[in-house]
Amino acid sequence: MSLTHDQILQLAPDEASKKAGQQLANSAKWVEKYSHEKALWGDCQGSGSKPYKTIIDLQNLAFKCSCPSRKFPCKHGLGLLLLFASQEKTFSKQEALAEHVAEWISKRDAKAENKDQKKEEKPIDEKAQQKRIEAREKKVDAGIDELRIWLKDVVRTGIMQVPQNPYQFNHNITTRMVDAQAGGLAAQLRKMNQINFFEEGWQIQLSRQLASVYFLTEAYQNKSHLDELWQKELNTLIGWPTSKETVLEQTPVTDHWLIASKTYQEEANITTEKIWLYGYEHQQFALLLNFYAGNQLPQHIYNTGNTLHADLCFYPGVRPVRAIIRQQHALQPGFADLIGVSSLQTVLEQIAGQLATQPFLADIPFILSAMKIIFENGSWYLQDWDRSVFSLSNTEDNCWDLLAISKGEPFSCFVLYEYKQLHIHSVWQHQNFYFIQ
Amino acid sequence: MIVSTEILKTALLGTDKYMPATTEQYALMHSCETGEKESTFLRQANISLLMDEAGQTIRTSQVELPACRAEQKETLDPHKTEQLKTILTSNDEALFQFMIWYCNQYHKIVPSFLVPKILNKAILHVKHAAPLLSVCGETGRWLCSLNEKWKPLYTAPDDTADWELGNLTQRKNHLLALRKTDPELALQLLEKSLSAENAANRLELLTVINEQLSAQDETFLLTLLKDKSQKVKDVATQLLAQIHGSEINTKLVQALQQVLSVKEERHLLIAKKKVLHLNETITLPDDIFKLGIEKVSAVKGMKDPLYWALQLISLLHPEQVSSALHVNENDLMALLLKMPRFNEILPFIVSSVLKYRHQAWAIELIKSEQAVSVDLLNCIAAAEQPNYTAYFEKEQIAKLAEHLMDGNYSEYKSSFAKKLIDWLEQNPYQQTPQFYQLMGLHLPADMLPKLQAITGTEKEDYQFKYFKNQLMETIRVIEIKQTILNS
Repeated sequence: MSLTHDQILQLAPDEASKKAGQQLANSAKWVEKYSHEKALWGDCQGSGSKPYKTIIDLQNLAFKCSCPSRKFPCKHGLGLLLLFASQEKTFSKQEALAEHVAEWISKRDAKAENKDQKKEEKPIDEKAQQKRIEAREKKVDAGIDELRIWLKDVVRTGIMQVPQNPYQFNHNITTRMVDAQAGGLAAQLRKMNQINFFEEGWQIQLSRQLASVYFLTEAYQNKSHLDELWQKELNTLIGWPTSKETVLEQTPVTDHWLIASKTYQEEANITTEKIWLYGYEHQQFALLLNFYAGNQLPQHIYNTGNTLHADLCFYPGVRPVRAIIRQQHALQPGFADLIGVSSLQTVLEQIAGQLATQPFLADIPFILSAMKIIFENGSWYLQDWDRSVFSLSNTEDNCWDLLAISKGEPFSCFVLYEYKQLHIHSVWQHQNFYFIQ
Repeated sequence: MIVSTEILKTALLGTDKYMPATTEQYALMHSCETGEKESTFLRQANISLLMDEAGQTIRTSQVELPACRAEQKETLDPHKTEQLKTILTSNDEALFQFMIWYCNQYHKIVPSFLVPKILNKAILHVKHAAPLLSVCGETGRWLCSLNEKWKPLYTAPDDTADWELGNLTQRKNHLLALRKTDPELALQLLEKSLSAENAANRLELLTVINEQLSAQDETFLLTLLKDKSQKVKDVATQLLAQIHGSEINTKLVQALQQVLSVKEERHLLIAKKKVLHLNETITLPDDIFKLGIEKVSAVKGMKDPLYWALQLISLLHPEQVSSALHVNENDLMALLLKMPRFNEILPFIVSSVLKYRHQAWAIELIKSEQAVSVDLLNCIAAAEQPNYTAYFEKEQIAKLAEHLMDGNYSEYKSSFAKKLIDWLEQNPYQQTPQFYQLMGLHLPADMLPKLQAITGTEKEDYQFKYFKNQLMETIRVIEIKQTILNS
């Protein structure tokens, strides 16, 4: 497994660990350091009398360290991995794993096998499962009823006062939706807290989101009138989980996928990882969505701008975008140039078309080509060849970075559309790929 | 369709107070009716806003940004770019400055995606931005022309604005720059505005007069002797004392002649020897003590007349002191060096040497091997300085190391580096972590084995552990420097 400096730093639990890890990426700090195709291990001299023993499992990235730090991975793990990334030659290459390393790795392997076995062995109790579904349905229905009452209360009194208390006005109902096992609705309510209430336009955004959530509850309550796909789509939007097995039963799509964007969002100790992919052959987008609790490590160590050759299975729905990897064939560095939509008028038409098919769409992805970035009266826009412009939601700093990268010349980019604005996630020009953080 | 303003109005006021106008509703809106106001409104709002979003029209803009000129210099290679990225993210200022020096030294520019980050750093210190701007190339120049925040980096500074609207530091810098090019104009500017300033500002701005001080400044400085602030009066007096031939200067010279003289004494019957003679019975007129000369000796055991004489020496130019005592400068220094309890006298002489940057006296003081200041090296021409650094290796090695940290990251001689490390091992707490980091940029790579041997040593005492930790940082800096220079 070869990781870049940036990728390793992304594993750090906080800024202090990043800095400390970088300082430990120094051969002088390590009394011993060894490498093996399966693992890295070394002894780092800390403030204690005995050096700390650090091990890194390179097959399924994991860290172990004898230091007392509660951070995960600790600075020693990060330091050792950073040092390996920059000065691999300074590590003594070993044919066999050291005893304590082999013991830890084998324990991990055994644990993983047991987990799989347990899954396979466990028979499904259909009666109990049905009971659980019914109980959940009751909970969800009750939660939705409460949500509808809350929404009506909000519009009865008006939203004028919301900016005075933007983080609390929906706190209780959001928690209630979590209790009602309607995670999808809770997520939609949380999204309202991301509105910038200090900026003009919040009124429309909040009204739209309130109305959309209400509309979703109506659709859910009337889902029996809809076809099976829509029922699944609505279930997913409300927060019903679709089992991995069900998804893997879908026909896989094999393609070379460009890793177009990778973002992390942390909320209530849960980190949401969103990886956007684009298939070269099928010209289709896919979203790998992962959730990590606490200090759990990311499942995929993918770098934007690389190409993933894999079979993906899509979650069933009206417009299937979310997917999981059924089989990964290869992860290739670099990317092939892509020709995307070059007219913003076409983008607008496609947005209208997609909203008509699925009005609850939150993000609509596009690959755009021959775009320029411009600014006018303090606002930033994407401009196409016939001077049509589309407003950007990237930060001011992001936009200057984009201008510096493109030098005012046309470029290709991956963007997400969200309520009348585009957000540039990555750009490529002259065979160079840039992920906009 | 209900226009979004109607929806917005209802959303803000609440359905209790307002409902969207329904006179021109379409059939779709009628289907939203539920008999309950809130429910009807939420349905209408959803459809209306969704239709509004789906029906948005494209706007055109004729804005066309000016083209960025092609780069003249080569871009930094990917490996070094990665290093620079790490340095920028870890906010490692010493290594960042080294990287900038490297780029300028080898005529490289940074890749364009790093330019905004470097411009953000440059704007914090506009006066010292030139090396940073140089590595930003044409992209930097182009971005600065577009971004109001970065514009000052490439715009000629508006001096008048600096003086009229700037903060104290900007105004002082402006005045200093003007004093260097047009001392008279700077004096006029100061004369005009000084009375309107508060005492602290007056004191700060007045120090600028020290640059190109001449007889033409005397009249203005004399007016300041009536200033309300004692500190301003003191500075004005000191400046007047430095003006050759000024009234105060003349008084001080006369006072010096009264207290101190050079006499010839017979030596071994035939030879004659010059000696400094202190007139211990003299009483100086009171007005001398209003010119910044302290009446009572502040040095234990030093008699008042000697204390006066030394204060006068530190105020006056060495040439003027020598001429007043009818002896040449070298002979006078020789006589001073022979004085008893020289250590107590030394600070006054050093003060004079540093004030007037007197090379001959600086060399004599260094050669005397008394515990003198490393700053004396600054009084010696750069080319000659290496001849005198060895004098400081014993007593002031750390200060000398700092003095030798030049802008070109030149390496210490191995012998000096070894002595420095040995000294630091005994006195690790005397230097800051920043010193250890900067030291890494000046130590030769052949010091690495020695440093690694030290860091590999096991000792339990805290002093050694601290030293070891600092050396590890030094090793990291050396390794990064070597990677940058050799890759």
